[in-house]
Amino acid sequence: MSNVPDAPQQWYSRYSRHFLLENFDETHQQRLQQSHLTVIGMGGLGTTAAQHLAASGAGTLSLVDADTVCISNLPRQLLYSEADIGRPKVFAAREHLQANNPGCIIETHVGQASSCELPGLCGPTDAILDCTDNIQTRLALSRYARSAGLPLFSAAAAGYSAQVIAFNPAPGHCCYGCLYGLNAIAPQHCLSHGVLGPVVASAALFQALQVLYFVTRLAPVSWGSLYRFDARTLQWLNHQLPVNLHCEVCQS
Amino acid sequence: MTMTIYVNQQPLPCPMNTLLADVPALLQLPAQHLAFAVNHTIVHRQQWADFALNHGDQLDAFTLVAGG
Ligand SMILES: [Zn+2]
Repeated sequence: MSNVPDAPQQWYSRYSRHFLLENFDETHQQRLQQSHLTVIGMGGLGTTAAQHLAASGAGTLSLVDADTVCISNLPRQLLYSEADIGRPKVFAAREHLQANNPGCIIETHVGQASSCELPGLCGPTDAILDCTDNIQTRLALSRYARSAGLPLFSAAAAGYSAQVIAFNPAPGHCCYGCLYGLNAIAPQHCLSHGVLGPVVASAALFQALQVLYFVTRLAPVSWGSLYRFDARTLQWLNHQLPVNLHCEVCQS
Repeated sequence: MTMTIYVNQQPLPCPMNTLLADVPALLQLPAQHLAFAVNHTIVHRQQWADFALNHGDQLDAFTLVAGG
């Protein structure tokens, strides 16, 4: 399936609820339409973020994931259906995203986001969404985003916890390496620990909203603010992450 | 002399001049996999030993996740 842009009248109808928002006009929608966003990881985080960004009118999404859809994905990864089991996630995602919004161009890459391939995978993008499930890829993405001058929107979830943080690539801002340097990542991931769909989706929706604000310039992005959601108390908390002067990513 | 700090919104009496590095033991928690924010700013682990707490400080003690 290829992308089919809306005719002007349909474009206004499709995004009419955006135009009814305070401070949101055609310029904001056009900024979104001109944006190219790269989603690394099409699991619970990436599917939810990509669904909202594509449906909201992002111009181009590059999707990167090595996996195929399996049945244990379906409770969290609502973009996929039973009929997709066994298919590469990025192909199934492209089909479903374009079924919702044929105007969105979807580029797909089946593979891991290893550090040597990142320039090719991310290409001419405006922002990277870190929706991965492992620390090594998160660190590689942070290094790449920093060197390429790209903002990085990082989300994570496990157990009853979700977290989101946006990294500005400019010097003087913290990076994922600074967060990693806290040595506070619990030794868990969703293979060994449970996770609930709405908890992962909470992180991804927050992440997508930040990306939407960044692209449209509808609201400022609070770079380096760590937003944490505790699903047991239903509380969001946020803390500022200062630069770690010992960070191996941004201080070397 | 004692003072009160708040950890995850719970009051914690502690000696004056308590350092952030002393807090895990006061909480009877291992320091491993623990992060602290003091008054909404995260304090890097390397600074814990020099970070003097004040009466009324609001601490958040938490762990991070990396799953997706
Ligand atoms: Zn750093």
